[in-house]
Amino acid sequence: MRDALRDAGLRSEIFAEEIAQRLLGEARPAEQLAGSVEAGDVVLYHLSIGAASALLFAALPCRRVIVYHNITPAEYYRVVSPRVAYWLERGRRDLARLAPAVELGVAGSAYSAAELSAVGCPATMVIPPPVDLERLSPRPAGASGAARLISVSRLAPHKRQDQLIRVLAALRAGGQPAATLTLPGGGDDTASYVAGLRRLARELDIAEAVALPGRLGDREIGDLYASSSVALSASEHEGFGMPLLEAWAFDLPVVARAAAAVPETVADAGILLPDADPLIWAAIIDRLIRDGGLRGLLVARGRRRLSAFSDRLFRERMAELLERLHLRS
Amino acid sequence: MSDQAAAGPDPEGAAAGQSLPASDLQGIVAEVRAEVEGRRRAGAYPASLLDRLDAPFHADEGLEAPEASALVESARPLRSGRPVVGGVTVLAKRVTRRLLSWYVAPIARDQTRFNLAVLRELRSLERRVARLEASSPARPDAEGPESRDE
Repeated sequence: MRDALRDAGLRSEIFAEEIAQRLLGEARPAEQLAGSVEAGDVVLYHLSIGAASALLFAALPCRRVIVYHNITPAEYYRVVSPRVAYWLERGRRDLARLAPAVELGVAGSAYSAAELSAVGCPATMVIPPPVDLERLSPRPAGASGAARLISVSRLAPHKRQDQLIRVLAALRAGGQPAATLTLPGGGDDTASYVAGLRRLARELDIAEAVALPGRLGDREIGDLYASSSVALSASEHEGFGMPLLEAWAFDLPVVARAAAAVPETVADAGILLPDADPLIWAAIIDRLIRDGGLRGLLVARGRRRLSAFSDRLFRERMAELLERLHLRS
Repeated sequence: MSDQAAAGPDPEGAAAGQSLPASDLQGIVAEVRAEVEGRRRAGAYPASLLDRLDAPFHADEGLEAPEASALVESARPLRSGRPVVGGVTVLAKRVTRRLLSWYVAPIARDQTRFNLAVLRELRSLERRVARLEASSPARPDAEGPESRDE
């Protein structure tokens, strides 16, 4: 987003509370923001969880815009991490306080835009997030042998990886006894959930078929996609669903839970299931693996759907944003 | 049913993907759902499988990896259950916290950065040890040159 603004000839800088080591040269400390803005400047506040910076943003004497990535419902984290639950709740409070006071709310999906409107945001627009899939070196997936299922995301309660482990158990008990499931993703704040996943896999006697390799680099993630058969998402809450696009880039058919923004992102390019019944998920996956025509159809739709999130379209939407804000270089 | 490898995408299906309506997929889901319900009613699924699939999931409460406490926060939830006085107490603490935040917050951030760096190295070592153990299970007493490929 910063690059698109700069390419449009605008001066744009990133300010952040926490700056990762690899981004030290890209962002400035948030506490420097107040002293850096002038009345005509526009500050875009990225909101996905509560932060002390919300207070700072609320007090800025300039034009303000929220970029809303959605906030995971805190209920999912009550047991696993009360600390994260607190910050998620605080994020909702920040949203309720800030949204009515900004000029515009930008959301990654219509689902998130509707939430902005519901809390009083005076105007909204949808800009799907910029997509950089080249980092994964996409190529057509070529799994051979047993069915290899993959679901890439943080290991977190709302992502429902526990559900996917049950699906694998049902699949192995039925038509695909050698099927495996790989769940790459970090679990820094969800250690007890991750431990629960391991325990569930043991209880279902499929521990050897479930891989939890932790957070991986782009190259390793790309290799995993390339050696998979089907991409899954059982997530019950997504503001957009970037891993779905990653799967399409590898010509993988997608089966996903029809929840939150997922149906909007998937459109007709994946099989959407309204509930979590593992037997139905397993039967759908089994059908998908056996039916080359159905796979081909989903792969073709995935490729087509991916084109709806191209860099060109993102930049067009950014140009619309600048127009709405009457910003010119 | 026998185990079957993933079939490659069918180019004809790919061509069809450009024109078939989304409702076709809903039709497939409805068809599969009906099949599963039929099998369930007919008792085709072993009871032991159904029991296992229905077993409740519990996060392992009380187990806390170091990652869970790596993030040092300078702002914590302020609450008080005491009527009247509680509100004043919380307000006073909030003001104090705000006044000191310029001093405390950077220290917390530095500590968090350090904690995460140490954990990253520890996890890296953990993976390396696991790889080494996996690669030489038959020679537990063997000592070779250290791998530097992390």
